[in-house]
Amino acid sequence: MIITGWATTSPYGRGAGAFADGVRSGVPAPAVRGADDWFPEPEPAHLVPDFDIEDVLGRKGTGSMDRGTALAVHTVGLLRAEVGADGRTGVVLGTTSGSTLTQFGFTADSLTRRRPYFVNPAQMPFALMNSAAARSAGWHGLTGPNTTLAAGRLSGVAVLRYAGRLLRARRASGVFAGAVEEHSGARALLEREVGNTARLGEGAAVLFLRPASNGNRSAVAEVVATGTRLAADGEVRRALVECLRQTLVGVAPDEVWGLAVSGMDTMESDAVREVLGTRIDRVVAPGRLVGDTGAVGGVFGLTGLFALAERSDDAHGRVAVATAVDRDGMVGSVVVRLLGVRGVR
Amino acid sequence: MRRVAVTGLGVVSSIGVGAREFAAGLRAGRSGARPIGAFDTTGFAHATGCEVVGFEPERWLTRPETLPRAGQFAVAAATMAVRDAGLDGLGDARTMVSVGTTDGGGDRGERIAEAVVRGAGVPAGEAARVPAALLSVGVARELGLAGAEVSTVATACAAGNYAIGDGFDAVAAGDVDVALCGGADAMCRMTFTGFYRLGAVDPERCRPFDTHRQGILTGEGAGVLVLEPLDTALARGARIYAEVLGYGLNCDAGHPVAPDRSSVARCMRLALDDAGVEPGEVDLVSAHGTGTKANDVTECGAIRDVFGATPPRTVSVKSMLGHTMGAASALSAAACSIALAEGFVPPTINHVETDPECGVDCVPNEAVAADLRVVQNNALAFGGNNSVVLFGRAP
Repeated sequence: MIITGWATTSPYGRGAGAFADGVRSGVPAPAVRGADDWFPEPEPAHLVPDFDIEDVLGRKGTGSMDRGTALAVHTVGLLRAEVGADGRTGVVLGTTSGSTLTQFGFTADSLTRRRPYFVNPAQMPFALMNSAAARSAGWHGLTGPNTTLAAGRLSGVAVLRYAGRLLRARRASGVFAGAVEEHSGARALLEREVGNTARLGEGAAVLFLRPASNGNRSAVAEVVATGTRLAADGEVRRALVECLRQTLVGVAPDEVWGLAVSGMDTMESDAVREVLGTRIDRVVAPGRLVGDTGAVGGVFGLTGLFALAERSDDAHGRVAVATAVDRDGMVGSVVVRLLGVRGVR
Repeated sequence: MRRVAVTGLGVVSSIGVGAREFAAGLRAGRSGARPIGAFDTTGFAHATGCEVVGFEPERWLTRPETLPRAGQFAVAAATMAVRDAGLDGLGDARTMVSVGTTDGGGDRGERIAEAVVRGAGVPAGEAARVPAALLSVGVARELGLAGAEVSTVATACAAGNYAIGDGFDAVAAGDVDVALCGGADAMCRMTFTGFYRLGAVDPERCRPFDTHRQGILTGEGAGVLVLEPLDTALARGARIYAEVLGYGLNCDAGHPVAPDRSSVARCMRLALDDAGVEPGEVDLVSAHGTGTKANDVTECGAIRDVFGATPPRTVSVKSMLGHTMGAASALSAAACSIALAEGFVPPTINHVETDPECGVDCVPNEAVAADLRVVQNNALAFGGNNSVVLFGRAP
């Protein structure tokens, strides 16, 4: 399976160019202070700038649309214009819980209005977790397999593994695969409740995937391996080491060009060093740049590596690794071979 | 490619827990309908649903408080399914756990939202139980499957079939040796309220394909299937409920909530092609059959488009189970497997008069004995996410 293009809508702005420039600069994206009914204490967050849903997508079909769905529709659209989609092109997106804001708002309406059923039924499809993938398909006429995976921070690994199987089984000709996370006070409330103190962010990142056997080797990268493991005993680092041992089989330490991590600490890069026997100096940590973007962090890690690789002389043909760790004990890794093509964006 | 067998079933439902009780319920045409107790229904003119009563999570989980109710259902169903398959644990088998869901831990999110609205503190521990990923991760944790491929498929009300399809591909391709796949959901206020507002909740009973149907009843539960290679199942002398013959997925890419007849028909054709089955070979369709005006007419129209003027018997187990959302097509798949293994067609209960616009033989009210060879399981979801799985009689 090869990755022939990618697009992002991130706190650096709309489009892959803004994201690539931001990652290369190494300077965190701007954060703005905000608050809402669900999380009244104002705190800074990395929001996608200038992203008013109606301005970006128009008024039709957006009246009740959640921000996450809009981010996904827009991001798929950036790629859709460039890659060849057909009747069997699919969409596979990762999420944590869909639009928590829409779900909470719907519940609040039911509890506070004069009648418990005085809710806005048009909001209902946007309260469901499949909304971003389903609306992206609807917006762009993509009638192939359409799947949403609730994999939280492991979404990058999960969508690549799932989409890879779809392609191998010939159920799709190509797949828009990625993840989305919207920022809201409702999400902040849930994250703070479970003890997450990271600055939060939002965005969407989407890759376009094709079978490697298409004859077309012109690609950003080839997916070499994906793997996950559950730290059933709470030993997260050990689980990640075991996971990496499997996904890095046959990869020589000096082949590894770069690493993307999901967390803020050094645990993931330490695990990679333990497996490779050498430290990888080039580390992309999206959390430090665009905040904790939940489900999309892992995909931002990959696209960050792609952004760095396309300006590098020594990346071509080498390997990049992305690791992910979730609070539920799941760990994962993705290994890709960089093919040196700038790709469609 | 390897052929894939269904060798175990785990069921949590309003008409019975465990494959045997569930089968008895299907055969008897049992109804799971009762007054909703899962949330406060004050202010609704009617509130009937298909709840699971008397579920004891401690029977199945070492730490039930770590999972939302849907996750508890998933773990219980998966544990039952593994035992039902006669597998003495899964040991070193390469395993997949795939659980479909609509709402995940959304019922816990509702508790939190309610607390905030009422000015109360967020109940301790609830936020940690919200993420839907916990449904599959919980199964892996409880069954000691640290190396399993784990996924929670959140493709709304077609999610169970999506999970089964992915499990089928994984076993067929040799990626895994055993797949535990299905779906789980718990009753929640949001789904009930949304359908109620749309005028799509029946006051008393779910009556798919009936002229006087008034909509769904919301329900809850979980269904998990054990899939393994047919050769392995035969070699170990396992009881084989059914063979998974193939499946189809597509997306309407159209209206957010209304199903698209031609797209649903296309999904059925994709599944038939994948299974290598001619329409005339299908003996039974277990329909999505929600009991809403729009779904049943559109789905039956699509069935006639594919099967012609006299389609196979077309039943809806939602008449008994209500609409269990992400669990719905998994429970329906379990019903298909049981129907093939035991040779009967589960009835569409609460049926008085077939809507001529539906025009199907829905096997009203009483199960009938039938020599079934191929059974089709339909699932449609908001967002136009269709999935159809074909099951065949065990060879």
